Amino acid sequence: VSKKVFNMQGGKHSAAAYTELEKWAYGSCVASIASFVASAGTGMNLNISTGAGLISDTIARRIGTDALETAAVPAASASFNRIDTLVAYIDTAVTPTTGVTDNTNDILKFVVVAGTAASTPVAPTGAAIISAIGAGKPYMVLYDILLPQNAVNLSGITLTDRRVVMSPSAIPNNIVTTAKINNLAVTNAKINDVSAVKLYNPYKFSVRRVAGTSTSIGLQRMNWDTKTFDTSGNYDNTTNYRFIAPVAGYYQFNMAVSIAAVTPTRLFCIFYKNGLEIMRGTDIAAACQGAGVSGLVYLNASEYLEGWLYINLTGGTYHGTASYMDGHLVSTT
Amino acid sequence: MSLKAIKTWEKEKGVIVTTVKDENAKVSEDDFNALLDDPKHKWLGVQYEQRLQFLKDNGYKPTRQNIADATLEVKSDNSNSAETQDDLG
Repeated sequence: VSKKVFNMQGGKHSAAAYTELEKWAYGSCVASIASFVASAGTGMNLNISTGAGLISDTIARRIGTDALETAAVPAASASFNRIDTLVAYIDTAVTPTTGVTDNTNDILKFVVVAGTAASTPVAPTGAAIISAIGAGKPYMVLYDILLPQNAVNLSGITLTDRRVVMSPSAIPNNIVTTAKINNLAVTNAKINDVSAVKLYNPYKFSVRRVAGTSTSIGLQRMNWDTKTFDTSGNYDNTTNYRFIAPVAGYYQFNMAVSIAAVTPTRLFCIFYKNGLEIMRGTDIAAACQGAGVSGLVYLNASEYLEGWLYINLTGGTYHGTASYMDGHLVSTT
Repeated sequence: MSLKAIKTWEKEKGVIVTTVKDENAKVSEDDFNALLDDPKHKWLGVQYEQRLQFLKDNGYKPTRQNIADATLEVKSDNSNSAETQDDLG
């Protein structure tokens, strides 16, 4: 018999019919991270929390316990540490009966299979587990237990979680489509931990002028010649001294100029976009030593922005650390 | 002091006075500087060589209005914007 249709009127069901789909979808697993959690109990007993799961073999069986279970860890070695393994298995030596609801007559068992004590111990193999519980008994590994030599209780054990939590083995191709991700239904509230979403913006720069003076009265481009950083390489600090937008979007730009050596009586900073003034900072028409401008500017890809200065004196020296320009992409829409 | 057309001073100083009525009017440099300082007038900084190149590259006519129009954007197809203002003299 190979071709099956489950749950159709008039047919007879096998045991496999109940869990055939789950077997193929999940394999052996626990229903949730909270199912069958192991912890040190009293003496040499391991506690196993309530939960549910699936032991998949030729036939998959749903299992569960609604009370705390224990499993005894065999006595520790006097010579070496040892790694044991906690397994849940179906004891096929116990006969199911229609007189017991949900087969609570100890068919499901939790047992700790002892490994071999050694200077570099390893967990029991599958063959060792089968040897310990008996052939033909479907099982599922839950934990490895590193038991220190001479241990008389479990306070010093190290548990390694080997449970497989129920989940599809893989998301098939073409299920999470671009359209489904790019959907207003995917709100921040539906993202469990918004803070875990890393902000990544590749377009940002900061440039400055380590030396130089104002050489003429009036407007002059600030030739920012030194990069503090330029993560996308879009600032030209050698030829045209401008930021060239790599992508269309809204960019925040900031610029400050601090003047030494002279005291201008008119000073202000300007942003030029595509060769034309687009934003002017405060026009300081009084004795001053510095000026600045900041603003949000929309640039199409390949459009450029430059920082300019108006000063009414020559010989002003730019402070390297207080004279700078920076910018970054804020949003593409 | 020599007199020059306002549009000539504009190019020399890298500005465009958007409120001037007659850019061909001849004024002295002092008068032009006074015009820039006059709060009744508005002017924009312009890098003429770059700005004219931008207009050319994107199919805009090199008019005063286009030079001073900050809303003009790059065009992917370089089609002419069909502005009808006079060319910059």
